[in-house]
Amino acid sequence: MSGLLLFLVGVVTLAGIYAILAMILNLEAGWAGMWDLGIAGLLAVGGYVFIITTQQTHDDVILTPHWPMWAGVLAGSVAGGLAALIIGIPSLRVRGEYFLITTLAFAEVIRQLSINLGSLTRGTVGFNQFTRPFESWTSPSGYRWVLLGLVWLVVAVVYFVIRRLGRSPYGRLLRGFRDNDPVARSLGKQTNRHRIQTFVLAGLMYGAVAPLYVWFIRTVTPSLFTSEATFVTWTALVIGGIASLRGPVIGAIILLIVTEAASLVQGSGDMAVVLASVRFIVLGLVLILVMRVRPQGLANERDAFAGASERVAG
Amino acid sequence: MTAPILDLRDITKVFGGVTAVREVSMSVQAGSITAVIGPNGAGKTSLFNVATGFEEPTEGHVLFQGEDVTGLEPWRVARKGLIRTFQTPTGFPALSVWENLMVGGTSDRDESLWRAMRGAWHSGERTTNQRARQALTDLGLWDRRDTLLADLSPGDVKLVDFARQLMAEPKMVLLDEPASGVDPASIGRLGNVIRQVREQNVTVLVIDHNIGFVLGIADQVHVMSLGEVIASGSPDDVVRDPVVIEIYLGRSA
Repeated sequence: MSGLLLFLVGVVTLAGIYAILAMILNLEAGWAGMWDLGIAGLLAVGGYVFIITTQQTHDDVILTPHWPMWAGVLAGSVAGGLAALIIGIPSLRVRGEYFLITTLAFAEVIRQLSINLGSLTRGTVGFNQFTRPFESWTSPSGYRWVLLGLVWLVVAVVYFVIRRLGRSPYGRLLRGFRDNDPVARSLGKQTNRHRIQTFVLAGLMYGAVAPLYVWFIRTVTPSLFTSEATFVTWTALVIGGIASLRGPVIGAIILLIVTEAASLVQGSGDMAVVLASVRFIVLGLVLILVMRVRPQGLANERDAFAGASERVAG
Repeated sequence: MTAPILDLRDITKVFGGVTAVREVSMSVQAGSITAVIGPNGAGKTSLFNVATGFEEPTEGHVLFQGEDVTGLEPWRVARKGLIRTFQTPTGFPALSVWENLMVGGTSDRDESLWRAMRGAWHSGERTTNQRARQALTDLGLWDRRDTLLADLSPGDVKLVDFARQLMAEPKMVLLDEPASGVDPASIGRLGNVIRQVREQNVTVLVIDHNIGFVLGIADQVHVMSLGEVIASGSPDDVVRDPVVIEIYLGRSA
């Protein structure tokens, strides 16, 4: 297999993972108006809980329950949901920027914990030997295709679930109170309850998909869960079109292909360092370009929900 | 005389050192159109905020249908049938006209996350759609149902605003300056809509600057100035009241 093809498979797999994250972010931020900067933290909670509960090879940690993989995914999801509940209840009562600050701080606290709780997380060394699902079915070189299929299957499932929510009366209410909370409350809507439910759902989902990220990278270390993950997800959503339906997927594909293309250039070690930083310059340029030409993103909310009245029969 | 639907008793609201509302008592008869007029800073909106739970009164009580609702959260007050509008900003700008009305008319049950997952909201949606369609047809806005609220003229926005709050089936509506920013042609339409609402046994309490508009539709008028009610009576009595002419009409007209 040619190097270019292998590279492309990797990029498309990673794009799929970011598409999933951007879709979840779209639910909580695009529709419900909760500007979450703690994506990396929720991912870390899900990822670490998954790896700690399921890994079989590292026995120098204090907790090794050796759970089956499905139980680990479930545990990671529940942990993500619980974390969202714990940060959501105090910070969603006060609005807007407090939520932003709290989630950002939460992600940093989680990262620091993952470094310092070495007896549980193996510190900065982390976990690097674990089995992945269906790994025994194929050769190591064929496994990248399995993972590609698995990731894009999850993209499809998440897309349909989120679309179902977005087009329901529940989603309509979120998009309403996002722009005008007092009017929603004056109609008898418990907007805070809806916000907390939505954030917990986002936490459950981030926690559940964190293992995909772990399987792709093949290690679990604190450096995996820096705010870079949060900001790449945000950029993908903004480029694709915040509050739209297909935007998060489109944005993730374009963003990942454009930024990863820089690593295609062959060069010396010094060159590689330069190219690594070029990625962020490219990311910034893409963002500026889209904001300049199409500020609402490539897809948009208006088109995504146009003709809603036609879908009700009768 | 029957018991009032809304009874405000000795309401005082102090912000910092400023008394916005001072010992105001006001009762609204069921089925009436009652107006509160007064210059800027008279305390009209503060009184509304207190009545609907958006502000807690410093002193006094709010009774709705004989029940003490003082200090209840706004959504609880709303579910008892006391629904208000806001002067600005109005409504859900990113939703279409139709979606705005649907949010107003959809029950808590049909809006739950659980029902959204199961997709078990379609029958409720059809019923609400019938009502939304009727309301929009009556307003002459059915053809514009898919227009986003943000793209509508200010006059039409106010009509949609009113229609959306009515979708929640209130027993009483509090309208905060419904005619502000509305062109003269639409004001007439708005007045008709308010009168029609009363026909359906919804009590109306309205505050506005536009004296002509308010006096044309109200049965009972309260005049506020500097946080106090300075005159009450029928529109005819109020315009003849020398204190009102001095304090309100004399100065700002």
